[in-house]
Amino acid sequence: MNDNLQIVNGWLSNEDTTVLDNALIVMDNLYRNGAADIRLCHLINQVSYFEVSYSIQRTLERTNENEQVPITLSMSDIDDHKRQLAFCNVDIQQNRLFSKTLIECQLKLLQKIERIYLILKKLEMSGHPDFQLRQEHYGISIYPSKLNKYTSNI
Amino acid sequence: MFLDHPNPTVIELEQVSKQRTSAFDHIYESFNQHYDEWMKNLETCRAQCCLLNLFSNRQIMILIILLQQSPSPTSIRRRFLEKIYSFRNTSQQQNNDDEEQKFAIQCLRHYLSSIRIQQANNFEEIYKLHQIDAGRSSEARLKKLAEFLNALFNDGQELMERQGTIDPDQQFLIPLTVDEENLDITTFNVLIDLLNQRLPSSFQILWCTTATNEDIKLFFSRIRKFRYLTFLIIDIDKMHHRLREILLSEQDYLTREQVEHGTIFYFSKELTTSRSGLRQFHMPAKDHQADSPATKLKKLFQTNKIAIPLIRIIYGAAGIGKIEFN
Repeated sequence: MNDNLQIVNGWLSNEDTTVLDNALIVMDNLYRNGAADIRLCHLINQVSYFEVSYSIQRTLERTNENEQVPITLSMSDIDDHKRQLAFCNVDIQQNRLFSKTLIECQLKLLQKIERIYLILKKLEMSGHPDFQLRQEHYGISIYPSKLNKYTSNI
Repeated sequence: MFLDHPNPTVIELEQVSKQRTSAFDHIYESFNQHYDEWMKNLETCRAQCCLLNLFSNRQIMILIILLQQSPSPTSIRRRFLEKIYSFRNTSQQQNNDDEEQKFAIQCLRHYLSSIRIQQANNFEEIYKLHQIDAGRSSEARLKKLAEFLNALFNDGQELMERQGTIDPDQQFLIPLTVDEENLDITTFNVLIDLLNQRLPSSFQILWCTTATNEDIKLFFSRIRKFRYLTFLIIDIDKMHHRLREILLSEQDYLTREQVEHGTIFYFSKELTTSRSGLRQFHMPAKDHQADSPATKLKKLFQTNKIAIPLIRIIYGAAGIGKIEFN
């Protein structure tokens, strides 16, 4: 608990206001091209886990070529991200309904993914032979197909 | 920026998001169904084949995987065996497959010999007859495993035979004194005597410190099934109180059912005989003529024709196990 308090204080302190901005940027990226991966590996004595990943585009200065940089969030990163989003949600002004909805939808989605992870882990631990060393991959972006027309002018 | 977008899109965003979360709900539901089905299948198959009760859910899974034919080099069985035997794939496909098959049989034999029942002599023949196709449903695979175990262990009849006389009081409390929290040599001695000239198998002992809710339930279903066997429950005092509650209520059910069941010994210093169904076990008087526990154990190994494993003991002066070992 105290550990978390320290982290939260860190987020809210003046020097680090960027942390919360950063959370919004991460969310934005997840909407664009996020994906969730669940890996069950208890059978070979490793810890099962899930992670969320996205990629950002970076332009190389020398050649002017675009490069995709993959970024992965571990389970504790995801927990942090969820907490940060919850703070943003409180901070954001009432009239910015769209932003609030974005955050709420994102939180709901992450919770659904986590629920799937937990049931898969339950299947693994109960010894279902089809759920050993299993890998699941889910796309969690909605942005390109459905919402692009609204946000093309960012 | 994206987040500054005007209101009109909120409804659409909500719609899209709803579609998405409901898709994930469907995925969750289908997995949940798999889980319920698997648990139901386990229950029905265990009711039909008593030998399946000797194994935990995870042990059953490993047996199924070992029985499964695995045509691909990335199959679950291959990866599992690679991990425990640390064998590497070579370039020759045929060699790899043979090697894997060899290890699968070796692992399975080792696994099954741990339950200490007389096995049929033609292990490999029975193994070949009962291999499982990976594509089958989980129920079909469980049935196939049950057939395999029945063929190998003669339907488990050895475990159903009556041995000696049966005490009508079938639940005993073995009181531990305050200072002997762990198994000491006296308790160990009692333990060996209790097992009636049998080497204990893991399914006869419930180690409470690592037992889960499911382990406890399965253990009591074994007690009901195998009426002529002895069962031991150890480390009751060290259990989490939630699990202890489950254990004690199982004990309660068993007492109230008033049916014949296996003989159980509870090792505890906190439980008392005021619980209904529990009777004090009287430690036999110390017999100076009797063999030491180690000699008894050695004899048991000999009569069961099992080679005694080489055990190295590293013992430090401080008694905490730390010592330089060359």
